[in-house]
Amino acid sequence: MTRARRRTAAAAARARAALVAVAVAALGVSPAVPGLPAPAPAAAATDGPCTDPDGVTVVVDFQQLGGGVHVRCAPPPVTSGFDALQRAGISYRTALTQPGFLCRIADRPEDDPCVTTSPADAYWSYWLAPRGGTWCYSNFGAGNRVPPPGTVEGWSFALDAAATSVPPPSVAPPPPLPGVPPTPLPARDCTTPTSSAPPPTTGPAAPDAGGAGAAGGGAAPAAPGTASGGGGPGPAPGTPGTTTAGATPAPATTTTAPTAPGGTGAPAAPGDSRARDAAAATVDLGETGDTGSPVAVAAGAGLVATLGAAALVAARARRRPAPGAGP
Amino acid sequence: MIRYERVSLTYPGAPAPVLAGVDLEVPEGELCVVVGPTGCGKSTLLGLVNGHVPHFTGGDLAGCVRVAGRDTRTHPPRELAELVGVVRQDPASGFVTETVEEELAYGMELRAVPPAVMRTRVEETLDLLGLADLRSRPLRTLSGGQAQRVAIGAALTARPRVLVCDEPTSALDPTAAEEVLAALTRLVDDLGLTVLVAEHRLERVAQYADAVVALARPAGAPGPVRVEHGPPGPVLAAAAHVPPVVELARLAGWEPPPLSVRDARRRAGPLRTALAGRAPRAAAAAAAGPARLIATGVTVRHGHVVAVRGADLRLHAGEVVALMGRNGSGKSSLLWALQGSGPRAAGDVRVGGDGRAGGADPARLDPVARRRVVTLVPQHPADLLYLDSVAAECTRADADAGAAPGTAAAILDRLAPGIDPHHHPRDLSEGQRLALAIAVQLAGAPGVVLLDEPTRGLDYGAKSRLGAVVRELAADGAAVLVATHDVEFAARTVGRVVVMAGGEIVADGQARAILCGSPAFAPQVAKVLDPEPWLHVGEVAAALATAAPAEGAGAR
Amino acid sequence: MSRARRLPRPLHPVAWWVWALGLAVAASRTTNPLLTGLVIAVAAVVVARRRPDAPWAAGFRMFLVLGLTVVAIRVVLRALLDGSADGHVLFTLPEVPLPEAAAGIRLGGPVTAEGLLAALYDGLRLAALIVCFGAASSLADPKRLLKHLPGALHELGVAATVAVAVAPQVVVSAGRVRRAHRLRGATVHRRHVLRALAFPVLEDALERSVALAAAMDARGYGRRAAVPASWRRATAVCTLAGLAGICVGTYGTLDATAPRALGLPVLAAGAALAAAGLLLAGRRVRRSIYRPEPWLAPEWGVAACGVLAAAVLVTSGATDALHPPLQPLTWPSLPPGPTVALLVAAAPGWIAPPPERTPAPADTAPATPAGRRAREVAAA
Repeated sequence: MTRARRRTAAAAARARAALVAVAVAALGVSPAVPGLPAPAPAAAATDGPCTDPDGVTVVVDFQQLGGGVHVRCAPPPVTSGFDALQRAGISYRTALTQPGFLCRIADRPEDDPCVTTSPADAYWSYWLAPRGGTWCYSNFGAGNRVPPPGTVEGWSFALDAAATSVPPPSVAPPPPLPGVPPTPLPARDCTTPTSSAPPPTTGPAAPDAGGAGAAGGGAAPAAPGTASGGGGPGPAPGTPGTTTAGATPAPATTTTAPTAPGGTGAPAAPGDSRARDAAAATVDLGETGDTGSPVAVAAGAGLVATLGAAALVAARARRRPAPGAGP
Repeated sequence: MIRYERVSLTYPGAPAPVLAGVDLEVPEGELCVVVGPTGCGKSTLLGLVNGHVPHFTGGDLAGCVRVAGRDTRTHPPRELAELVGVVRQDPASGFVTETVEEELAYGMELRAVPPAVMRTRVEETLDLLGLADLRSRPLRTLSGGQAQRVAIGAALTARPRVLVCDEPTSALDPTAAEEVLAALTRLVDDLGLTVLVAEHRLERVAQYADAVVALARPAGAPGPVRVEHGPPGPVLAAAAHVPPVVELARLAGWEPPPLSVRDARRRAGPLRTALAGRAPRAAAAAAAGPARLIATGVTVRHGHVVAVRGADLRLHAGEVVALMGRNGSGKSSLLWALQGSGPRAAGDVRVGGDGRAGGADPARLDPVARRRVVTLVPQHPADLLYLDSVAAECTRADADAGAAPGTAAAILDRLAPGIDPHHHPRDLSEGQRLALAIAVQLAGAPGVVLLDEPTRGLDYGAKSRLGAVVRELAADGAAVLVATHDVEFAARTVGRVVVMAGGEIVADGQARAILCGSPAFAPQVAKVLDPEPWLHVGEVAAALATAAPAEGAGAR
Repeated sequence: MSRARRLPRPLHPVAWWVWALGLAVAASRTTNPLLTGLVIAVAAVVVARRRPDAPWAAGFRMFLVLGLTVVAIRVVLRALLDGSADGHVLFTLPEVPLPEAAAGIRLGGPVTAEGLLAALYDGLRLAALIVCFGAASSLADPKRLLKHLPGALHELGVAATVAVAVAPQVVVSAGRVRRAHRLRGATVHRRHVLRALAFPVLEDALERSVALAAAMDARGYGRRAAVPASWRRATAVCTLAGLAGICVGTYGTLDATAPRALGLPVLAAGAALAAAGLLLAGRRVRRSIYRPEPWLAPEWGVAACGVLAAAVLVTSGATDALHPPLQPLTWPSLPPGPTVALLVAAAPGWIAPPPERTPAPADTAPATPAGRRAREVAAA
């Protein structure tokens, strides 16, 4: 289906508020609607790793989905892994029946219906790291964990990956801020740092959200598992169209894409529908679906009510002519 | 049609064969009645016809049974299905489908009869058995007689040449039994079907029989059963247990004995003359004791159905009362309400007072106290029993009732002597199990005893023993109420009869007046000797004995 | 449509079940509350218009209530166990701290509109499935349906029918035994309570089963037509190979690392072999059906309506129209294709011939469970 252009924030907020009101009315709970705490505004998010020592850096690697690798910063306070995404201005969706399970980032992959958990061969993996450390697979769901300030969160799409070779984000966590000792991760958050730790971060290229301009590394080819799987190297994910170069100067925060761990898994078979052509990988991280319109809801509800009334009338009618005949 | 050739059958684990060397032939188009006491092999004899024995039950068969030339040793029941139809005591237990019509068609569906043929046969059968009005009724809403007719119909649609009925009427009230037996005779007359019927209540079937097979176990020895086969008159004349009309014939010396009331009446002229004016003595229990149970306005409802509607009843010490009525007339519901365990929507029950006032409402007593004043033996006595052995049940009963150890065992010994106390209650015969249940319930020496259908499945011997025990209980000062369909049992045993219909008590009075006054409930002797109100052969014998010195020859 | 075809008659049960299954498949493909609500309404209309008067057809209201209960339970549970704190917080429940081992589960805490709506959507879908099943069993006698099973499964079907009938009987006999024990006094020892109840009830059930088995045996149940030994061997080979194929195929489809060729092709081949085995085995069972319902135009129409609904919803794919996003909250849309398909699925309410109405005879006892119980208690 065609996706409408993103509406103005105000319009979307109004639509959401109305939907919430309907939900509240439908569910029979009635807190004051105007008092609803709105989700944190995404405006404060910055591209590139955090410069605020208390901010949480979020790394998103679309891998074979063909959206490149993005690094953004969620300003404090961050209350959960999902909150970090939200504050970093990255849209996401959770599964309908499994609210703690993230199924899409920036509305990808589109063929995941987001009803139950994603299939075991195509899902978003959730990674943690201290700044300057190595990625490790989280023991917690993103909704159940409060990222310590100053740490790094990673989201990496795992396509056709065996349980032992889930690819971490193909860029290493950004190095510590100068003069700020990196916040360590609590031991229980993740116990098995991936064996395929990326080598020292000295590479020149930075397929970072800052992309071409800011990182200075230019548009290096993306990680082997990323671009090659997309059916040809093509332009680097960090094309200017992806996101605007943020106000993140620090070239030191960039890492190389080609040094991605070997565990990235086999390149997806060409023609796999889940692998997107890198050329089309113009990802708007804040992209969300249409918020729809209440008109359709009214029409649908009217339809259901009409049919229900017809059923009631028919049930009444059949009872009347033959009293005592029906049980 | 059916030929038994030197048939012997031994069940696995049994020390002796049930049947040994039986030679028997039932010709085509005959209604043959199999009679004999419980446990003498009637069911085995019947089961052999369609291969149920030994294919289903197991057992060692020597000799062979041929049905229309087919050997049952090589044909299991399912392959004899088109030759032999089977009807059992409890028709509901054999129903597979939900409605009358489907049940009639079921056997044909299994045999791949073409739909058009099925349709016509079902219609024929509906008409033949008078079931047309019931065609779409759910089977579970049928009365006993209707259900039994459906079962016969279901067997018939497969067009068998032999119909085997194992006690088809024993769970039915007299009217429903008539219904079923009339249907069976019609089948023999119209279709030339060969019918083999086992029946305890000979008085119901003897008149319809073309031949009788009498099984008798020689007294004492557990040896093989003696099998007599022949026309009903001579065989019954020699049999140990006979219907009252044959008993009367023996007394009066009619030879050969008449089998139907009609035949007997035609020959009873002299006897009626001889007995004229000797009005039967007033009932023995005329001097009623104090009232043991006073019920006023008892009403029982189950949902929207009113089972009992404002019943008033008094039971006196030393009295045996029969509670009669059609299936579903509310007898069981009344008994349960009187006992206090069952529901009671309105009315009052007092038990254990001195006859005028006082007494306790059993529904308000706790179960232990209740069972000491009023006890009920339910329709399925096995429901009461749950321990491993007869002895354990008796001990438990004594403890429950607070009676001296050995009380229940003593009662049991009187009711059914010679039960091994180490037997498991489930291994007992129907009659023995009933005796055990009664013994368990009587251990507390209650003043009121309620029995629900105790004669079901009992043979003549067991019934007369039960009658003796009931009378003995009354003599000891208890009030006994027996719900029963068995007219002959009531005629011999009780002094008063209460008739229920539609949940209401419609008649209550002396057994003689009520039983002899109603065609449905009249015992055979009363029918033969009408209009004089004689109830049973014992009375006639006693009257003749006193009359003998004067005009003894008159009866001959 | 000709006049004769409109005569009241029962529709072929298979047609009703195909229709209901199609509707259920359609419902399972969407979480859009407008569409699932439409499925429920469509089922209700058709049942209200074409339900026969038989006792087995009276249960639809119960299925509706069951569906609503499912929705309510899901919403309440989600409120208690809302996993995500993100979104529009409606209210906050006191949170119960859980031990480390339960990491990932949160009891209490903030309840979000997104969470509750998700529970509502999912619950409605489940309710729609339940209602579809209820509609099928109210419109067509499940027992008549079993008669149309392939020959090889015929005996299984009869066994299932009988087993279903036994359950209420066990309840009745358990009640009888309990009442009998009250007669003996309340002193059934604690140690004996189970035994005192279970033994007589089981004994009763066993006796009934044996009696029924004997009766069915005597009526010809289980007869086999004679078939050559080679047929029997072919049947065995087909069935076994088919089952093996289905096992392997299922494994191949579910395991992402298995070669693709091991998946669907093997599954399909296995299913075909198994079907062939069933057909072969069916030749040994010969039976016919009493008063078989014909399969005429209305049957085709009813079945097609269900298949159409399923086909449209399945081919629509997993779009946002079928699964309205809750992150961010969006109004569910009313996609035209599926909506029309579901409306068409209501057509059987008009194209199916009306059911026969048999006026109840005056002496019929109420067919409710209460009435049945009363009958049994009252039977003297």
